[in-house]
Amino acid sequence: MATPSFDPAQVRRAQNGDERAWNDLLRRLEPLLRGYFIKRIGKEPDVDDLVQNTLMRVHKGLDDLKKPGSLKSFSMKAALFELQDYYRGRYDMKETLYDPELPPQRTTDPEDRSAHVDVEKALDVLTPKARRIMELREYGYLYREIAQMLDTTEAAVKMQVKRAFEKMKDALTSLLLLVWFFGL
Amino acid sequence: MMEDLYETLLFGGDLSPQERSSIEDRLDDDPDLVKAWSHWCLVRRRLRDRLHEHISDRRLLVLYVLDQEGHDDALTAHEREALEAARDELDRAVAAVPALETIVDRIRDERDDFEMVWASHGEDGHQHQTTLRSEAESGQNGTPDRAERAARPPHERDQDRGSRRWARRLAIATVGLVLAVAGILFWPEESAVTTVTVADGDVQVEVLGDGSTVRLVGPATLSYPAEDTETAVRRVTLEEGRAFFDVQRRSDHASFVVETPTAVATVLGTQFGVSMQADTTNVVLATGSVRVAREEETEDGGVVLEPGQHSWVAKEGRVAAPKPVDLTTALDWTGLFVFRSVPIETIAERLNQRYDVQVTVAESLTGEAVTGTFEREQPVEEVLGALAATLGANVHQEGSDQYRLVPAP
Repeated sequence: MATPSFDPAQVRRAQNGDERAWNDLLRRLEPLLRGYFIKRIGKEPDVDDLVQNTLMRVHKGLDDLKKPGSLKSFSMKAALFELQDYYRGRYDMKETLYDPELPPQRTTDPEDRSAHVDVEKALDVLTPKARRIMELREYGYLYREIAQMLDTTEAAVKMQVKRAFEKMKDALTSLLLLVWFFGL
Repeated sequence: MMEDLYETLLFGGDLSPQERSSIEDRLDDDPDLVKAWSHWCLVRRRLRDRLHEHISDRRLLVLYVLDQEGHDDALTAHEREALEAARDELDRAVAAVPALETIVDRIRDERDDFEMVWASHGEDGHQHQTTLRSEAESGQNGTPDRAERAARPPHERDQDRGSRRWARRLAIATVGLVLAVAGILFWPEESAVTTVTVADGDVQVEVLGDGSTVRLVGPATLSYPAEDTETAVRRVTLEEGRAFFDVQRRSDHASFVVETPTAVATVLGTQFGVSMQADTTNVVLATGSVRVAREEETEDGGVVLEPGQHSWVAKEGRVAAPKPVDLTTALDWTGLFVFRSVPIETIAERLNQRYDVQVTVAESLTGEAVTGTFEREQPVEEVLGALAATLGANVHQEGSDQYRLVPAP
């Protein structure tokens, strides 16, 4: 079976503003991109947006395509860019509970010295494995995706995160005791 | 209860107003936990900031991979300049943040998948696989259950391509001795057929008309009659991929037949896994009874598997003699733990490896055999709870990741 061949002449016509040529490219690219994004993220409602955004990228950037015969690589780049934006947009840093940038309303102790705890020291508590998992999470990957990337199970990944949180909680308690004891 | 709270805080996602209120009430009673949670968020923010400090523009990672993989024709002149200017920065970033190396590998996988999808589409832009239809078209719920998704084993790209090429050849050729991929040769034209295709990395469970279930581990394609017609033979076709069957025994003893491009497995009521990859069908039997044969063999031909055995059939090859197999390992790809009369201490070892925890067993329980099937994505506490219930035992948690099974008082 032949791989899809996009006629470079047609791509050139689309670059020159030929709407029919562009619509034909669109008609053929759309199912291909849809199949790709379904393969990557599953049959999620976001697939439609990813497809449309990628087509927009291809459309907007078509003038930059110097070699009309390289449409595949060009479309690939657009799709990969779109995935990166997708991962970044997944998590909103504003937590659903206790946004740390707001005053900790539930901490009534005016002598609370926890704000002075060094975040860098807290990072040192993490094992290399836990740190890698958390970095991947902050990059925007789901835990199941992280499990695939690390060739393990989602359950094992979550166990690492839970353990890291508990370790950090214990370390923080010890650090706060020291802070209190030395009056730092 | 604390475990539930941790689970919700760390992995809870979107909460209803009632759930949020309940969690906040519980946190009111634990100011230390509130502080810890607040600092956890600060740590996460720091990690995020650090990622951004090292890689200010994520597109550079994509350009890096495209350049390495020979797609420099995709880069504009400006992008090429930006990549060259950032090359040292990228090398330093990958050295400083190990997760970036993992991310670069993932982008390579994404690139590979694009190549594969591009190659599988024809001139008209539509995918040319002989039985591919969307779940929407077939009336099935196509959305994979999030809880079902399993970790993907190392990507066997050559085997994927090999099995797809084989599936396409079978669709074209008239096959006498092996099974037709499209299923056209098996079902009368007037029979409605449901075809389910599961994407790579996804897991989907199909419930058939007779109550049997099929757990498909993507990439996989399965066809079966749209309606249970009470015939003497229930027949499904696994065109490619892997599936774990839990077949309900019928009162009329109708057999259940699983066909692949190279083999036929006939069962009466059982649990077994079938894997169709790289022109070879592999059948692993967990419970019940299965006969594995080439399609042209008579009812007396082929081999009969007993629980804990497997066999395989390659294209134009003979059916291999049954061999014993470790069920848990052989069915690892299903995303399930499958135990058949396995001593509890052996199960504990498996859980230790899988979850990276420490599970011990009281001496009075050692040697007790357990038969059962568990989802690997279940929290370890749930699996242990089920095991304890089976044994009439209790689970004691002795540390953050230490558990002990002891007899119930």
